[in-house]
Amino acid sequence: MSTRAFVTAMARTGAGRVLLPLLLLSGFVETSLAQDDFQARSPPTSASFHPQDVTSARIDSLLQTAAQHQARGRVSEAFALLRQAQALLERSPDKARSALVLGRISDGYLLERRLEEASRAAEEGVALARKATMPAVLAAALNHLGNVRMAEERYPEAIEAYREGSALAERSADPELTASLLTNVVHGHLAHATPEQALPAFKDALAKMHSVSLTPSKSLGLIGLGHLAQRLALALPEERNALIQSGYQTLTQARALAEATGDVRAKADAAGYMGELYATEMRYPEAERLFHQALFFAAQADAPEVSARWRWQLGRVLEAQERIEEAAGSYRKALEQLASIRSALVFGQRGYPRAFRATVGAMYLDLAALLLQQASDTSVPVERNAILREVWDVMERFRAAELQSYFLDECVTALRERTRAMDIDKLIGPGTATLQLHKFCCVVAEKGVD
Amino acid sequence: MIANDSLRIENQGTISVETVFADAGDIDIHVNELLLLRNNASITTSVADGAGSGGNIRIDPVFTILDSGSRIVAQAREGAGGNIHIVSDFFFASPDSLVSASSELGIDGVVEIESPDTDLNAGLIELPGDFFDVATLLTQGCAPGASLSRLVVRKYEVLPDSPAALRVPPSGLLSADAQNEGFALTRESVGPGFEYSSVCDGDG
Repeated sequence: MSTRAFVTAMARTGAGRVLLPLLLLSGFVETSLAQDDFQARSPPTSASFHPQDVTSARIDSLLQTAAQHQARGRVSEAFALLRQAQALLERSPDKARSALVLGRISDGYLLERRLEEASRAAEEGVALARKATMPAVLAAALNHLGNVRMAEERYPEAIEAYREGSALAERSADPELTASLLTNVVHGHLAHATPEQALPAFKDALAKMHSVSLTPSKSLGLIGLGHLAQRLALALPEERNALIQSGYQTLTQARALAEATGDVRAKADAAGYMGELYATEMRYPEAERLFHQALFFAAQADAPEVSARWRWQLGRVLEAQERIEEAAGSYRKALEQLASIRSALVFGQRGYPRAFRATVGAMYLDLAALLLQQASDTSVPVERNAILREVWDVMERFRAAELQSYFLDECVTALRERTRAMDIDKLIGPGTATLQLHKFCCVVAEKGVD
Repeated sequence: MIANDSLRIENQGTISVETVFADAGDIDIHVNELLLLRNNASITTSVADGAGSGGNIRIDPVFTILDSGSRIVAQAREGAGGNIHIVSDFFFASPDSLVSASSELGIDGVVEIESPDTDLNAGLIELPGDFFDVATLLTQGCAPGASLSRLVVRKYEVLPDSPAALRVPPSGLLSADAQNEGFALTRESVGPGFEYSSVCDGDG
């Protein structure tokens, strides 16, 4: 059988619809088609598999694989595939696919916090998608544009893009797309300090997410909505009970789904965010047990950033129960785990300009605050100085991490490591404790960390 | 588990007993000749939480070989760690392999290896099977003029997707649009509040 006949046959079968994109991605079909002298020997008929279809299927495969790389934090691989897709599109123009590729490119830049490039690609993607007149494609392009506007802290424009996108997505056959856009509407209102306007979108997003078929991305979506329920509950006291209940049910479903799909990372997050929910209700023993479960699954998933988050939250719960030594140990372990992925932390997460302060920064500040409390409680000068030395070191690491995050430059850390050799003992003289405490309280007040 | 000749566990293969709170069960492996764990293979008993004790692991082949990140682990959280008992004439473990019986808060279990040759591997270093392509790892150096430089092997370039982050559209949207062929972007088709008259230029 010639390659052409093979491709045509594959395209008509169910198995072919699965296997063909893989063959296309591997380059097998393109190479073999050239060897068959495809065009010269047998001109295509209306029923045959057209070369344009081969190119389109290859672009779709490249897009899908690039999205998977981006989800795993590997943007270089994603960019390489997206450039291949763009090269194919230059030879074979297709507005809808071009818009989708531009959206993913925008997302790659956003993940690297290159906002100007991200904005330009997202705007071009939306312009092309409008011309393609395909609602799901335009909704996706608006999703990417909204994410960029969130990163730029242009919240009303972000919400507008998400709302238009969700209205368009309703016209497509993809409920996950609608749910994603509505979820982002909630994020937008929380960032814009208009949580009361987020409530209808939250309810719609939840209903839509429930109608999505069973996939790992559904459990991720449900966990996200469970966490948003908790954030909304804190922002809307009059809706608190209903939202806490909704968060509990959503995270329970997410956990069952993660169990069913065998996704240990999702199991870790479902347990962890459930722990946060219990901690919000000050039910610390349950929260503590859930954080331990989250840590167990995070270790299985080999996900240091997930472990660090739940170690940190475990520390907070231990501190709330006045188990100070255990809490300090938990905070220290969280920071150790972050050190193993320091370069990735430079960039933070998609669309959250203040993510560093809210998570990574807060880990340092929580440990420093706890240690300062210990220092003020002890009357033995040697012990107090030892604790203050650690506080000093934690704050230095915090400042270095913040500078890294601001300059997107790991070299800041290297510089700090070279210059830290100075004798800290000389800096901690009599009376320093009071001065440090005062300085630190100012820092905490300025950052708004609780 | 009984094997007359050999038992080979490779490529992240695992034999495990896991519980969240209760005591973990034991694992007994009776193999006459060879037990081989290779490429991150593992035999584990674990308790995620609570006071459950870790399960015991007992193994008795002539040859036991742990290679390339393989592990025999009995772990618990609050309860006592399980014990590991290996009776083997020849026991070899590569430097990156692990035999551990630990408890995070309770009493660690005991690892007992009855073998005359346990020290043979102490001087062995496993050579890497492949080499880093340094050129691709050095794509972004320090700023011009900086006197510092170092090589960083990244687990991730940026953080992976988190449930708390903004969502991106799912893949495969063109099939979702297949049923919308001929769709016109109009105020009526999408809903009130959005203006489309100037964007449908007809060249799509």
